[in-house]
Amino acid sequence: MATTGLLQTRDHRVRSRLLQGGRQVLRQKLFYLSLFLVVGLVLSAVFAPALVPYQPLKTNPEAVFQAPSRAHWFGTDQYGRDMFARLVHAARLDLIISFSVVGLAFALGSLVGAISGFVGGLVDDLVMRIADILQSFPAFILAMGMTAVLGNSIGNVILAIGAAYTPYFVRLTRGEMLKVRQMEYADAARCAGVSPWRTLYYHLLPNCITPSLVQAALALGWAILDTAGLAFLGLGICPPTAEWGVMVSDGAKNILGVEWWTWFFPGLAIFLAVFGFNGVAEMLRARVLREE
Amino acid sequence: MLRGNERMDRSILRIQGLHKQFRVDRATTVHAVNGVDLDLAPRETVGLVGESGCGKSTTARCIVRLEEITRGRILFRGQEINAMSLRQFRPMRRWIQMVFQDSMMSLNPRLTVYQTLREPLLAHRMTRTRQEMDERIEEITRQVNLELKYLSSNPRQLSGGQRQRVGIARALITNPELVVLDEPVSSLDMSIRIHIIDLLRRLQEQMGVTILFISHDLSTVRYLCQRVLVMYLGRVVEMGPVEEIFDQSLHFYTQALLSAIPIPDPKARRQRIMLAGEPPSLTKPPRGCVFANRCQFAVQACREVEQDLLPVGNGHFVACWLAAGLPHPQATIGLLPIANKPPHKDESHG
Amino acid sequence: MAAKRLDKLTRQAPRPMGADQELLRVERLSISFPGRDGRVPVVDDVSFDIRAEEAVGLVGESGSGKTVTALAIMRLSRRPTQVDQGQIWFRGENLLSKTERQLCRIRGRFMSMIFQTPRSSLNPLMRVGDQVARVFQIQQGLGREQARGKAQEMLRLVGIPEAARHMRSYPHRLSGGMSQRILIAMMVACEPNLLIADEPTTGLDVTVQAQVFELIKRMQQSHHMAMLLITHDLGVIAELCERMVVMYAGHVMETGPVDRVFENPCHPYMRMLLQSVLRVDQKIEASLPSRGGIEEVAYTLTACRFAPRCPAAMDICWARKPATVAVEPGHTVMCHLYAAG
Repeated sequence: MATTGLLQTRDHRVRSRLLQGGRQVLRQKLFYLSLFLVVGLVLSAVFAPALVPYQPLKTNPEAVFQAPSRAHWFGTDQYGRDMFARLVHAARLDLIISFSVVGLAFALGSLVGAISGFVGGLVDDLVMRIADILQSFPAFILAMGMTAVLGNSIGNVILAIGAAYTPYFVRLTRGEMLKVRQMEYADAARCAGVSPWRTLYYHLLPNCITPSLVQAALALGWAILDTAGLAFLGLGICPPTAEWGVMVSDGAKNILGVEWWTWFFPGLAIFLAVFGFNGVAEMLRARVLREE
Repeated sequence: MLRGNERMDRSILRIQGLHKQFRVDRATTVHAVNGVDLDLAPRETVGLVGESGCGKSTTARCIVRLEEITRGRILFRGQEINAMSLRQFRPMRRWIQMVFQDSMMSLNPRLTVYQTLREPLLAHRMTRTRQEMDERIEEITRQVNLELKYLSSNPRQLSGGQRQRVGIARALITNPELVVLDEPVSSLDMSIRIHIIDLLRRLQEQMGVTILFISHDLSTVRYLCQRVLVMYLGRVVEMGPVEEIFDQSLHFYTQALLSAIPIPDPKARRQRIMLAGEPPSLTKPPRGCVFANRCQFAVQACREVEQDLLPVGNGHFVACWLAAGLPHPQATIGLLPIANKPPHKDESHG
Repeated sequence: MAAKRLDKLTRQAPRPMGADQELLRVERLSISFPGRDGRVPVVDDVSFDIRAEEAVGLVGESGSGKTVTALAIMRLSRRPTQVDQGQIWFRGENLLSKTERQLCRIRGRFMSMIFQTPRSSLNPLMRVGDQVARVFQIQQGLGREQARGKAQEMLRLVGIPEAARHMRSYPHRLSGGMSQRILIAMMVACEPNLLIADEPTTGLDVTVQAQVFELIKRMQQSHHMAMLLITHDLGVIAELCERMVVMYAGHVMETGPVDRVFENPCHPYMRMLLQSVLRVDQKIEASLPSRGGIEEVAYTLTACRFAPRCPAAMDICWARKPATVAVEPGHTVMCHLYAAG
């Protein structure tokens, strides 16, 4: 401790104090920005499709490749479909997929992880080996493989990406459960006569769930990336469905051409969504750290 | 051992030959408890003392079945509880409760005091209506001298003493017959310690529970307990009524232990018995007397023959042939002369 | 501690101090933390002194401010703890006006501190022998081999069995008692004038505790050090210290020679402590102190902070802070019961 005392006193220097303060302010601003993005995204996904006058799938051969204008805010694509309409419908689809994926992975993964950590023994070994197998592939590759096998549909995409994410939640919750299980309050619950099941879900699970929650927030962003990635490769969601990845795939053909709006806006949408979710996850993590 | 049949019938808790070993890995086993016998009569307060590694906490945990014993029997009200499955044992937890050392860690940080106290009632289905439950919770909260307003608090908002009161309340809410307390005041300040100890005394009188009090703090044990067992390296080395143990201890380890405690009186001159060496490792318990390698009176026989508790009258037992004033184990066959008794511990003068 | 090149001045032996010369004087020290509504004065107007080669005990319950005071003396307080006012005179110089660089020269060489948990004070990645040797290297500028030799000597001196072998051990292999001995070896290596020990036996077994205290006492006497021993255990004070300072909620309530204070405790708090202490050698019916624990409100009082718990509290105790008066030579109390007039 004598050494940390010596290090600590360097705080005296004015320069580092300013830096610290500045960093804090920047972080705060980023948090609010992320929150704003996510909320905006959700709201537009919910309401915008009803408000936008154009249909996402309706082609219009006379309005092909129109630059952004008052009529078409984000321009039109190669089939004359309004980009903005496609974008907001895609937002709805992507968010639904994202929340479903994470909902599935988080619920299933956390429950399995908690039980596995709590029960231990053979069950735990089995669960961990399965998780190992699933995690030996990068999540995206696994999702690719599953989609290829199962076929291209929204449901299969959710299943595939969800399955790829589940082992991460299993690991996280199991790890926390292993830690929490040794806490004295777990012993105290046992001594009080609480049944093992109730100990698990009422006493221990709430204390294991926080890292998974933070991870879930992050995963919301990744799910969008993965969905878009799959679609870009022609797996999962296919044209003509409005989905950001599909749109990027379509627009990518024009990347060297003039029609920048066909790839820019979908790309930007993905970027902002992922950035927003990451920021929210970071906020959650900071909150959790501060609580402890 | 001199225990009459009547005592056996009346005893609330009886431990016979308790052994507990922990397998650390393929090569190492920790022998935490190596043959402990214990007998608790109803409404008794018995202290189990010793330093770290002596096995007292492990013994406590075995009694409440937080650990499974390796060998031996534990009888509660005559029923052999170690043989039951955990599921069969669970209803019995209503009668055997435990208070833990670290009040911060033994209370779930996500539950309020009310929620924590509710759990034993729910687990044993002791109340039928919400109102009955509230009444019982409030009653026990009052009994431990905790203000009712803290029922909605989180453990983090309470002081150490208050948290420990919650722990005690939780243990007593089911009206148990036996409460095992594992160092309940060790982490508390001096002035709070005595409040909690006094509370325990009062509660014991009011509720008639039997208390097994585990501690390394001998002064609190002296204040609270009627009988004391001294443990060292997994075995009981001395046992007896509290006054005998404190004022006329016989085992050399007990004497060293007592002499090591600083006395809050500058005029009390004391002869400190300094123990040489370190205790042997729990992974390789010694063959003979567990204390032989540090005892200045040890002879060869001590290192070969395991020492059992020998009676010296008045309910006082000591695990040392020399301290018990018996002839040397091999003197009876004329091989070695009878040695003198080690001196009694100096009385410290006030 | 980075190996710094210290100037010749500090490598010389310290100016010999005659016993009874004033070594440390804490004058009207006030320290605060940030609290929910502004800063909380956890140490308020505290004064006491320590003479060379004297063993002084600083006693109080948790929250009394004793550790905060000790850290302030060593100038190890971290943000956001802040010294608001007062002076700390050490060997005639005010520590509060020194720069970090100057303090580095003083710490270790002239004053050192033993903390509560030896495990966290030792570097887990360095062998124990190297850590002790390092102290010699830095403070006395010795070469590696020489420092090692001295370190081994030191280990032997503090009673580590098989010193040569243990030189090569890592801290996690040692028991609590041994780790504390290593720490004592490090802190005493340079024969500082003042050794501060903050509850050095927390968590250690009773018999080990006795050994550690015996070691500290022996070191103190053989190296002619003064000692500030911080503890909540009155037994330890009675055995090891010559003078004592009793703190409560950041105030010094009573000071004086240990045998005088025990025989004739003046302050109601000291009386209460003595009455409620459980002794292992006598079965006395200890009396209950009034509602144990320092109340939070105590820190906000500008009057006597013990008033909420004091059985003898009068109106004036809530109104004004008492003056510190001497009831006998060297024995002072801060209480309206003794205030003149």
